[in-house]
Amino acid sequence: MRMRDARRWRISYRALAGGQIVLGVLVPCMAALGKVPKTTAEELGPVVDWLVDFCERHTEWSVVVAAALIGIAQVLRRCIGSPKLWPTLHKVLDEFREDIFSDIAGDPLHEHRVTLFKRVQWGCHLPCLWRPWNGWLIPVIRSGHTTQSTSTVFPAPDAADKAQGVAGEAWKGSFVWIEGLPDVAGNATDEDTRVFAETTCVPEKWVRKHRPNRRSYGGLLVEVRGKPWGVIVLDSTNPTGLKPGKRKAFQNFAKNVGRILEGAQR
Amino acid sequence: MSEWLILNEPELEKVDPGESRQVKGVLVHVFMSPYDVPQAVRGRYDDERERFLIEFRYIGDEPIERREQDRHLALHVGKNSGRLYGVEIDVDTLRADLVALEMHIDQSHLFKSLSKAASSASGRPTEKNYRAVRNVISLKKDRLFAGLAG
Repeated sequence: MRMRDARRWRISYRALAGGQIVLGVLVPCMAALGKVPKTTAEELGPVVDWLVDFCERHTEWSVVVAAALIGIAQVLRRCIGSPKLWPTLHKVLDEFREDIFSDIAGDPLHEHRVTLFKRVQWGCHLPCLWRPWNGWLIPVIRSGHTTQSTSTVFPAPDAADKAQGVAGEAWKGSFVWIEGLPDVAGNATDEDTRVFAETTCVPEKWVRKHRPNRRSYGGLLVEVRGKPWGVIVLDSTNPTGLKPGKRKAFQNFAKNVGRILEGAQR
Repeated sequence: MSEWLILNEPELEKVDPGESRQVKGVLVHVFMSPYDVPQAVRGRYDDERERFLIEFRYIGDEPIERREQDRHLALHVGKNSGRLYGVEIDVDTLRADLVALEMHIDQSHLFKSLSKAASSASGRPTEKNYRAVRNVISLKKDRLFAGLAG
């Protein structure tokens, strides 16, 4: 699964907007044509006559269908968000990444990352298929240009106790900060796997399967107008990659992301 | 007084000291969501309502609704989060001067009402927020109610 491909979403957003305009113009034209007198239409030729006849017969249901389609397109556009939103957020994430990991600048981008997860009620990604209605945290943007493809999603059901991962913990409303995780990327001991699973709130089976090479995490809720929207997760391959002194910066960043998302929803 | 009293870092740490634990060398710190911790507070007498109003400012905002708790107390609550944005106290009816008002608060009438409101709040758990609010009031009590002294 690839996170938000800005180009693809921009095209979808504009196609939907275009569709709305076309329907908005077409249906009134049909209604107007349907009202042309039969005699006038016949005088203007067989094509116009057929067109007027067609509009007369189909205008009523066309109005209903067009209204529904315009409404659906509006909902979809709202879900996608403004085309300018995602590139802007990506830049903001990149800048924040540079700031929060400034002490270890120079490392490859993918070693210290900032990821924005959105909470969706229905998950349509592969790992969600066993219970798509469950409520999921899906990654939508990640800093940098590498490790953009990921299959990692976390359950975030209404029963918050069943939320998983640092993302899930943040979703419950806690500000989580974890340092010094054991290395479980290679041949980890059972003890290390257990400790990693316990402290990051994931099942041991998940750790054995994914073998994450992350050694420190931070997780924080993002709200939009008082409603939980998603979470931001920081991760680093460095066990001391996240400095306690950066917590305030993380809080301010989450607040600013919330403001950007709020602006996009207006 | 109507100016906001902004909580500094050490004060915010007192309001939410967080929980830290160590599991086999792994340091896990869990704090409240910063959205639930008031960043500033102010107390002022609202001439229009003839009530003393304590207001809280957070890092986020949302539509607010007023909920009457009892004859002497009303809460301003976030419509979406249930978070506490203000407390209205009917100091005139209570015939409270500064001392009496503080006693009223110390005697935990206000805090009891806050706890009751927190437990009856629907939606997201707001208990932590109400706890933070109580801590903020305790912390800033002297300056908060200074306006009533005059």
